[in-house]
Amino acid sequence: MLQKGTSYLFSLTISLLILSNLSFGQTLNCTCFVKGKIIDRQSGEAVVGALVEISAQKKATFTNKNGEYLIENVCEGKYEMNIRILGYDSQKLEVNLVHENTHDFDLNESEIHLDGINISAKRIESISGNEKQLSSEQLNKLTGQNLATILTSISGISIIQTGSSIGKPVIHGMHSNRILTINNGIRHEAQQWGNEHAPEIDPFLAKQITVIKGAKSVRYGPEAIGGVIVIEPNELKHLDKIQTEINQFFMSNGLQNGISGIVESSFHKIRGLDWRVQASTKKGGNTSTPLYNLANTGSQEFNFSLGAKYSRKKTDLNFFLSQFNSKIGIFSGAHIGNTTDLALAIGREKPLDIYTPESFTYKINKPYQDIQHSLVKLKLNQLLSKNQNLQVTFGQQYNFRAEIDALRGDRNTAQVFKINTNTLEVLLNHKPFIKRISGNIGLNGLYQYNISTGSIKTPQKSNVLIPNYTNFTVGAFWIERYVKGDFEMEAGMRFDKRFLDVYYLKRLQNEISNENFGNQNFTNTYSISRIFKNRFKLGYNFATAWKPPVVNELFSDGVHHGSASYEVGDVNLKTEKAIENSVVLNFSDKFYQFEVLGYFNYLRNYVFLAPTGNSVLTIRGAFPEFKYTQTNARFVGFDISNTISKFQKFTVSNQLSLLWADDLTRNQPLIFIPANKSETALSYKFNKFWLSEIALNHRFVAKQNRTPQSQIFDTNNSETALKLIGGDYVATPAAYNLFDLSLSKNYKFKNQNSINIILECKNILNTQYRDYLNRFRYFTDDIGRNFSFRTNINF
Amino acid sequence: MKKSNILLLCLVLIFSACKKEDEIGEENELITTIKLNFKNGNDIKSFSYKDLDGDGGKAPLIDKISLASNTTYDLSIEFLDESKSPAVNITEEVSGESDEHLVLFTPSATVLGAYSYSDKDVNLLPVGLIGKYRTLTTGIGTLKVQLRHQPPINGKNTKDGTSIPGSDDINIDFSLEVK
Repeated sequence: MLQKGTSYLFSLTISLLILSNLSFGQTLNCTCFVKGKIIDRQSGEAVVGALVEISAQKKATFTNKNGEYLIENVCEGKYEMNIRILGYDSQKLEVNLVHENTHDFDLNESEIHLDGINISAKRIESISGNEKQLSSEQLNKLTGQNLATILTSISGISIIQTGSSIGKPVIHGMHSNRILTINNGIRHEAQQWGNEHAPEIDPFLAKQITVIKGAKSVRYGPEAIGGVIVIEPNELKHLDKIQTEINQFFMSNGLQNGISGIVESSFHKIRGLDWRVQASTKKGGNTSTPLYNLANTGSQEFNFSLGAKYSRKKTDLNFFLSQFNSKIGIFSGAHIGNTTDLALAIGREKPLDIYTPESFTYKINKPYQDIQHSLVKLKLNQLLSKNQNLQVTFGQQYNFRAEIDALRGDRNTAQVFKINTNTLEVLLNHKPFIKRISGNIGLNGLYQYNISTGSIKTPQKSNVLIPNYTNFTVGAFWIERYVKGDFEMEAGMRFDKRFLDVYYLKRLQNEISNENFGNQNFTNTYSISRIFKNRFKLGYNFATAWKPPVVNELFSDGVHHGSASYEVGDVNLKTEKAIENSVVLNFSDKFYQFEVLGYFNYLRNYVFLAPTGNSVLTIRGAFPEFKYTQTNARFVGFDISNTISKFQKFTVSNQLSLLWADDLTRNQPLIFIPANKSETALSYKFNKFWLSEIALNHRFVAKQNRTPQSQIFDTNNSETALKLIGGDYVATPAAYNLFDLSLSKNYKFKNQNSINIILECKNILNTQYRDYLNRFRYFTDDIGRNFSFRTNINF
Repeated sequence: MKKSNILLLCLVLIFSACKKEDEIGEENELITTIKLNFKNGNDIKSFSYKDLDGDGGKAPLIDKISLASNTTYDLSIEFLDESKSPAVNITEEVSGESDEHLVLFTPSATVLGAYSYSDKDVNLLPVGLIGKYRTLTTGIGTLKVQLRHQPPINGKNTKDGTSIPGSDDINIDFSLEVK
């Protein structure tokens, strides 16, 4: 509903002029200098007090009152330059201080302009430091994987999987309707409630992914309890030539391959009109575990997008259209009819031979998922007088999902979900007060309708997973940020109201039932941060957030086939409210960086699914009954990262993610919470060698020992084929260790052309393992060794 | 690449934006009723399982099977979806794809009788839509009726005449009394 606005996009244009003094002879020239100016593009004002640092040379300076800086006496060479400004993204920039022509040593002409580099830095989303980013460079190393898998490279992020091709991100133990995805400025709306419904987003288009760990409801509205994932393509800019980027990958496991092309340029006939066309395709066949292949685990994807931007004087007009199409095979051995089938599958060491064929195929049979997601976005950005700025963003999304079961006959019928969402955001960035306070006021509207059968108000069938409904939500927010020197402070508040009208047919009735729900809530946030001695940063964030009950939590009433359970909703569920506290301590030095994020989140009326102890008799036998219920919950955890680097060549880093989540009413752990994990990476960067970088990665995932033991509901005991162990059918899987190795080579040419080649092997030791959050752990091991080859070409 | 080519590419992309919903009907299969017809000469007994509102809701109605001891019955089974009118006969679908289906009748104790198949699919494997049930001594127990759906996987048949492959489309325990 809410869109990421460019209130936080106070873009910075840093024009860099790299100049070098030339010298004669073989001795190292240490008289180069770098100078430039940093301007806030939106306000046009100089940015004062930004830190510009070349750490390898132990050189740093701050921009002066005109936003200018100068670093002198730098030796020749290739360096990484860091630019850090409070309230903005920190930027890394590679500068190459070498003369273009070594024969030309006329000192009078010694100031050779090597390159004018424009970089746009975005104002950071969260000042307290609980946000993490994946840059396009990092994303290039991860192409071909699904969005959730890509995100797991960030500490505190886990993944819920349904086999290897369906993955949903989990932030600090929260997922589905407790996290938000902002795709290209639009709140991504699909059937997020389902554990087997992965986000319908093409990772090939993403050039920067930001994850805010923790509530961000004031800016983004309801449901942003666990965090927000912000996915952005590069901003469109003026280009004199046609620029093309091609990304390609191949993976040995499942013979997966894919290619994406991005072409962008500007029209010459119409000034100020820039455009981009992108398309990607992906295909994979049956994947394999260390010991056997998995039948029907192929997947296919085809995505494209068109973008255009027209800028004239103080007006920017943006248009974006994208479509995501995917077809995902569901492992045949995980198709179960009832608890007896499930009990038999769990009892087997490995799936039946018929589900682990020797032969390979790309063909996808039933059961499979067929998904389409379309997005149209229109955005107007108008610069008003006195550096004020108004943004209006409209988004239209349509999500179609069909889950095709292994049905009799050749009929092509399925459980179908169609959801249509319109969002509108109006955002005003007001002029800075006393030069230190800036902020914005925004209004959000969302209108959504979901159709399972018939038309909205006239559903035709009663046996649907979720009913037809309309959802109308409005919200207004106000956020202000104060910056003074090393100190920053932000405060914001918001009010939302949601109207949910549900239309459904009760069993065996022809009369349509209609139920209306109205939920409203007030949220607020407060954060401060302070930098000490240019090395330490301490940030604190307080936020409240809420989630009205989701339609499946209210109205579920049927067998959930994938998990062999009968799920029952509760129309009396109350709004879930969260109070969150987080502290971030960050230390960074030349050779050592340390960061700890500690969080303490309290959730009132936390909705979860718990076994009732009863069973429901169906034609396929008895299923254990699960009911949505509420409790007060506490999520406490730490994300700790340590990085040691020597001369920017040798780097050792470790990321620890620890989490304890408890049901406070019953004083026991919550179910289905990610296990603690540790990720260690060793990398070495070569200079002028046939290899650019070698990296070894180790991932340790602990066994989840914290599972609920006592009953949630008072129960009359009944018999099913399976005994539930703390609400689960089997004990949690053992801890595991995985090792990955990657080699990469970058070729850079003139005119910013480049080729990047990455060779990687995941799970080198072909370790057999099962993950607690992989729903197919009942049936099969996780996938085994996987070689991949990736190329990224820019020309 | 020429601009016109790119424009053409855009148009191709827009028109290739297929509408998937035209290909897929919104419908889930439902079996509400099972009928077991036991026939011995003129003695015809019919027992059924009925759950007209599908999974959940009202509990299903299950008849108690009552048979005579030391008797051989011709046993036929029918599957219906009676939530629609007219009712959909799923037995025909099962027999049309008999090489993907297997019906199993399992009494809780061997003394309660045994089932033998009278039909075969194209691969000469049993199906179980018609067969014979022979009761032995008197007793009380259950008769488990299962319909195994054993569709081919990647074009390879999985049905092997045993209950192991596939998944249950039906799994019902009828009370059984042999008098």
